[in-house]
Amino acid sequence: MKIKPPLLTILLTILLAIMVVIALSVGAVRVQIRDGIRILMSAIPYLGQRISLEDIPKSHETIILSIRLPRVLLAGLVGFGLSLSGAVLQGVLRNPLADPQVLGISSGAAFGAAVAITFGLTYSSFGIGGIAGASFIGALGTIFCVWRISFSAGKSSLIGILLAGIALSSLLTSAITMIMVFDREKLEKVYMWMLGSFSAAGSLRVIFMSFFAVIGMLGILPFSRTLDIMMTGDDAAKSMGVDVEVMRRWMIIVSSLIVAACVSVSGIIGFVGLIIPHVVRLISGPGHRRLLPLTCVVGAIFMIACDTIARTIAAPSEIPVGAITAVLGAPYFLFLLARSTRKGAIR
Amino acid sequence: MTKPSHNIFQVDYVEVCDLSWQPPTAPQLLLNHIDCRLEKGRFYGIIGPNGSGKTSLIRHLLALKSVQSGSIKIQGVPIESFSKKQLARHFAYVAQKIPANYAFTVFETVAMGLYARSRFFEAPSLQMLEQVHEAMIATETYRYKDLPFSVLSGGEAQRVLLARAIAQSAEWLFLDEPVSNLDVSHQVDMMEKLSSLCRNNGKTIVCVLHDINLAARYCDSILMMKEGRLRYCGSSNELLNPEQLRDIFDISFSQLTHPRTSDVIFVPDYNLSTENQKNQDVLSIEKDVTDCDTIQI
Repeated sequence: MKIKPPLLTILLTILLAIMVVIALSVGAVRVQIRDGIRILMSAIPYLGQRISLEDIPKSHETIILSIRLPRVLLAGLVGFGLSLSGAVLQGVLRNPLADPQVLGISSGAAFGAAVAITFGLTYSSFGIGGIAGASFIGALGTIFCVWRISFSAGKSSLIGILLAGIALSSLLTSAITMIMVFDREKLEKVYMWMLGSFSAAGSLRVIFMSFFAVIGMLGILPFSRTLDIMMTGDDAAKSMGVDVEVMRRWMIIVSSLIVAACVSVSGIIGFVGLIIPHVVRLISGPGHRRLLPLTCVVGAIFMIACDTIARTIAAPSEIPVGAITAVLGAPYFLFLLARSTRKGAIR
Repeated sequence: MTKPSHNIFQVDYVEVCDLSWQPPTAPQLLLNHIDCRLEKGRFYGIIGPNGSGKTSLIRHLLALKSVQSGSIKIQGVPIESFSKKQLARHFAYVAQKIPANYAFTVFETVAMGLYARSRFFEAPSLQMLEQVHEAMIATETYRYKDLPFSVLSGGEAQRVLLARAIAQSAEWLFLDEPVSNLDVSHQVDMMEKLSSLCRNNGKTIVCVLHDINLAARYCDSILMMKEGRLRYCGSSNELLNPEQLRDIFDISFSQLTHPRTSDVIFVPDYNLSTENQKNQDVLSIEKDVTDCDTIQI
């Protein structure tokens, strides 16, 4: 079955809206889906005044608008950001295994967070606590090191940047392990942070994350055709008019910024950045003009779904969302992989 | 830093002046003081043994490598002062290979050639898509339009890459060993297409060739390279003869005349040359042995 791209985008956007409403309604306190929609619409300026919420308990309004909405939005934005940067990195590094974790960005963020937790930097300002701030700095610091090491020859080497990322990543991971062993009291906190969660969502984090999501879209989507051409190899792309070195640096900078922001608000959530672009590629084909927007939407849907499951399945306690993404995503991806290798779609 | 813009309508000549290049790891110069002038509308063949610097020269002419010493000038303007996009409007490159996990269709591949002439964030116009179709028809690749590029055979893939370069509508086409992986009939077919592009569409062709007879048949100018030097440069009728070939390839050639077309053909003297090679090997082994002796003592 072949669906036309614009129709597919519309369908997926509708699916995203449905997903948001469902995610808002389910949870420890169950709200009617109809009521959920009404509460959500009442928050929209102008339109909201016409909707009366008299028959809905005030507590439901608070739960939905102040607690669940920021969390759902944050999950959506992080899913958006991680899968967008995954798709871009797979493109510019021409490596299907590339994802935000491979470049060491996630480990850098985790290292920053671990240091902050151990030294008790838990004060909060502007809604971004000391831990989130430290992890953002850690992520940027790591990508800067990977950058300096692999670009020191003045030219980007595709394998060099991956190797530098992986090496630095394992260095930082063992550093985190040591921190955790020396400071056993905070072991659990660091560990939970490394598994990722949206439980600390708040409106300031949502604003922070949307800022980076917009930067990502503006910085990446206009270059979709350039990304396509870069898939044909460096020499060919240069001879067709693409400044490959400049473009690759730009793409890595922008996607690192997005990932750093994602990790600092939610901890490390693996799997999404690697798998979502591959799943979408099976539907959209390799062209980035279709792939990137669809990846963003599908990433957001997937992350909201996973987070909803994470907070409801064992309510009132929570399962780390990173565990859910892998448990849900991996079998589905393996199924798609098995089906498509027979058809020869994945190369 | 802003680069001055050079919007040249068409490129009439390219001048290479004292071009040298030595990568940091190489023991000697891979391009050794090269001087030449390429004129538009001609069919150039670059021949020479492996490692003689043919590919390096092409890569420099396309600005895929930055000039280390000497200069390359396009209409008198240094090649560095053109942006990649400006250069791509005049020079197209028929690449030899495509990365392994390349998944685009033939049509998408050919349409990529439009990039240099399209504006930022603007979809290609109908007129430009027409160019893509024409390029595909000219190279007989239109029927593979919707197939993935990666399922094509070597000859088909090479024609698609040629179509992409044609769609780029640059006046100069650079090809690095366009026929080395093709069978005889595809080789002739490819060379005929290039030759027709040169004669009928006014394109300038610069290609690296290994087959001396194809060079003799199709090229009007020959650049002969050896050990990073440009040894001979001139018209193919004058340059292609057994003496020059022997000088370049270190094996002797005989010149024959084709019994039916009376074209000139060059055949390496297989037996004589292997004898020669054996003698050289024996000499070098003897030399090695003596070297060992000296070391032991």
